[in-house]
Amino acid sequence: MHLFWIDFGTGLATAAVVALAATGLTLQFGITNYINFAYGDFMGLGALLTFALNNQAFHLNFWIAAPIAAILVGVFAVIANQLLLAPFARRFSNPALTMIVTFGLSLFMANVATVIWTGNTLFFRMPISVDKKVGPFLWSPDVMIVMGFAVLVMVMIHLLLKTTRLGKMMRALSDNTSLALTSGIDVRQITNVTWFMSGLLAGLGGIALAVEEANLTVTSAESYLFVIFAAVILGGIGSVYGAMLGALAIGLLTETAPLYINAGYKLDVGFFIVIVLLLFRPQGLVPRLGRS
Amino acid sequence: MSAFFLFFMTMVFYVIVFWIASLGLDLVWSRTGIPLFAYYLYVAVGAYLTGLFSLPHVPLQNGVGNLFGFNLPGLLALPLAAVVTGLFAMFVGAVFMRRLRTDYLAVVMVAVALVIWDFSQNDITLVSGNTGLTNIPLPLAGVLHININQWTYLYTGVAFVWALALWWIMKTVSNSPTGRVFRAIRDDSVVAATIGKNVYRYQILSMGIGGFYAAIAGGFLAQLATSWNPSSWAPFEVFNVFTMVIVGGVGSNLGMLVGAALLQVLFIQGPTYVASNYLHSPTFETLAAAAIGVLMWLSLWFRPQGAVPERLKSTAWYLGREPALQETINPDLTVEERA
Amino acid sequence: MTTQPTTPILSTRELRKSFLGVTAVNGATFDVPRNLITALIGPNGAGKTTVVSLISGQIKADSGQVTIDGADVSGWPAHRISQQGLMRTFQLSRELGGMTVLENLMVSARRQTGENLVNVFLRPGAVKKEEAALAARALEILNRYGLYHLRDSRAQALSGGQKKLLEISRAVIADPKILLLDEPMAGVNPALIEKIGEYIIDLRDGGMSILMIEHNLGIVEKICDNVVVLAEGRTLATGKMSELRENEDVVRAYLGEVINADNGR
Ligand SMILES: Nc1ncnc2c1ncn2[C@@H]1O[C@H](COP(=O)(O)OP(=O)(O)OP(=O)(O)O)[C@@H](O)[C@H]1O
Ligand SMILES: [Mg+2]
Repeated sequence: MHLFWIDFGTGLATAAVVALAATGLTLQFGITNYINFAYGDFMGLGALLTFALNNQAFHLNFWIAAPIAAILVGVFAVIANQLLLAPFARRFSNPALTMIVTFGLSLFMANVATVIWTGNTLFFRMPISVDKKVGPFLWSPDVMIVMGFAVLVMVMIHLLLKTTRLGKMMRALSDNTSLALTSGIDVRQITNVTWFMSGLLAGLGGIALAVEEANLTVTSAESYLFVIFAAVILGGIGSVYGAMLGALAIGLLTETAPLYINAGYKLDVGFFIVIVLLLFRPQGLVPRLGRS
Repeated sequence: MSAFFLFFMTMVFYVIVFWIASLGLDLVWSRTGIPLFAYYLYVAVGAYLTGLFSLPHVPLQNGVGNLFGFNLPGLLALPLAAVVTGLFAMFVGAVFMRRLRTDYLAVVMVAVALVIWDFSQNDITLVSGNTGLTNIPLPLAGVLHININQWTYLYTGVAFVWALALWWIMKTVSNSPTGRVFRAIRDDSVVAATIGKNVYRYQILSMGIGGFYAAIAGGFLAQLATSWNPSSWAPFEVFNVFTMVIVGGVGSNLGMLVGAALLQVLFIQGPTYVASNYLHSPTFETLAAAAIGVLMWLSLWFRPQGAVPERLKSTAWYLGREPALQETINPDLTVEERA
Repeated sequence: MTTQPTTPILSTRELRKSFLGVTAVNGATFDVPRNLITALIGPNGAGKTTVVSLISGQIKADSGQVTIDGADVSGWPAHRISQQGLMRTFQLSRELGGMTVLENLMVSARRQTGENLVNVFLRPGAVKKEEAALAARALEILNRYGLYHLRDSRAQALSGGQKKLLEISRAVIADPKILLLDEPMAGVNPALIEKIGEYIIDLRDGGMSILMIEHNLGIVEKICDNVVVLAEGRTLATGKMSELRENEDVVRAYLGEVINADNGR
């Protein structure tokens, strides 16, 4: 039972990571009809840029480097969409082709990152953070900051979507692109904002993952891609609150699973959920995909 | 000289093997319209099965062993593995094509490949986990008493004969009424059903043939390396095969050879050779891998039909002669409809 | 035309279908007699296209029954219904864009030996002979419909009117017992409308039974033997055009007034 609660605590921490990334991915799904296989690399880029600012150039304090890196990922996402993904999606009606293009983007980013950052394990330059007992859980102060931050971000996204004009326009665009087109919304601008937010959240998710695992490699975020998918699909693609709930479920499931199954299959819990959900509940949970 | 020649022959071997692999993916994806992102899974299954069929049974000990082994000659193990993989591919197709629309199918296929990849890493009872299969025998080498270099030359020839046969089969299939049904499904599966074709059955058939081709390619890779393990492949390597298909020319059998050659020579085997023999650093190789992504984007954008475009079959081709009918164009019909 | 008192070639009973709460078809019930041209008319959104898709199996009905030539085909998949001798065309033409015009016809033919891979490899001679004969037949049909000169073009390159003709020829080569046409004349020039009308009459005279959706009542009056009126997903009336002109419900439906549920039938 004791072990269970420790893993449960780790699950909450993972849920924070997944929630950040899944919220970003679901925002992106809202305005595209294809699946972005490079999203895991967007996450990795956040952590790697933080590492660069923190250890390689400028030697910024981690907590300053991290938000700058996340913003840079947001900018990168906008550029990647404008220069690459959007033109292909416009030209080829078959979403499978655009998915292959994102596949290529993933391969491109991963290999370029390997050239720049090598395949070695990297560590942020920050004080070692020792696990502390908090109730039945075992968390390091850094992880607790990440969790608190994730909750804060979720509240901010809620406020953005529900109370601001920008948020209303983002929701309108995500609900119905053609309707938004005719109702005077600047689609181009809102699309850019959405991609920026999505990249920003991916970056934050990637950084949070590196903090939680206390290290990073160029590929560590990539393997979380399907865990993020699972959270998004579980919550209903395009639904921000669904993604948050999905993240909680997935975080807890993946981290407590090793108590019952081989730890090597931890992430497969996510893959499995993707397969089973898409097979048996695609219409209810994924109403937006495949819109033309 | 001889080292270079060996490298050259090995590269030719890879070109041939990936020609076979892209022929299979081309059938499933470009000619039937199924985004089979799990294609590399079948390459791996074919490799594992070829190994298992040609190795003896090794009982599990210290985390190494294989569940079964048939000790068959390698030349026989290969097609047998391909048939079993084809059946496996049909089974996977039957399960997933039944319920899923193509865009979900793409995601699910990747997830399935990832799950099985993880399984191959973690499960030691079936194929020794990360150790994988080792000492896969070189077919014919023992019988003919030849060394590894001679074997490479010989087996490149064997692979070429296989490739020619598979190319002829693919050509025959795609030129046949069955191939025409595949293309109808690719263009519009609703119409295909409307004109009375059992879309589901043909999709499964296409996946089975694709699985067979993938497995032949995988079996050759395993035999060349004499081993196969989870680091020999990754589900995402399917992207390279997609790129070969796109660059070569979707729907073109000879285009697949061009695509495979271009990628293997300029972006995969070539850079690996240069990196390890001259540059002594893997950076060049990694950059070449990144460049495959760029190649695919440029190719899809500027030449979506590929290097060797799909050839349409003319009336004369079908009739076996020029049509004799005198056309009677109705002048009314050349007028176009109102805007 | 005298109508034989035989069983209808096609009949629907109480067909129902709703999409996410929107009821598109709400109890459509009608018969299509043999060897006649029956029009399916009704205001925009009446559910005509949906009825055709329910009959041909592209969409599964929530409930109701479809009978083709005496066989109950309710719930059958589209390809089996098609094999039963039913062909349809689409309101927005759906050509097989990557294939040639000739291939669009050839692929549509029934019972091809070469559609089984075993035959492709074991009986190549038979397949080849059949292909040549099929190509010749396809060319004849293309010639009949004025598409002969386009035989080797990719179907996606055709104009709207040509695509309409292609859909009709693709259905004809399968020699169906019943042909469903969804607005075969919409968006084409008047000369072509005239031609298509003649083609349809020729098909009927050749023994085919036809159900066609058509908005233009002038055309309906001219070429259709029988009319089914659909409004708000249910059958409002059936009969000859001349009789229906007297029917107040029908007139009202066409004037676009909301039909009171009690007024149905
Ligand atoms: N796939 C669908 N999803 C949701 N609603 C649909 C779908 N298909 C049809 N509908 C709705 O069902 C109703 C009937 O549509 P249908 O296309 O059958 O009408 P129709 O009589 O063919 O109209 P038209 O004359 O414009 O072709 C409409 O309200 C339409 O919006
Ligand atoms: Mg309609």
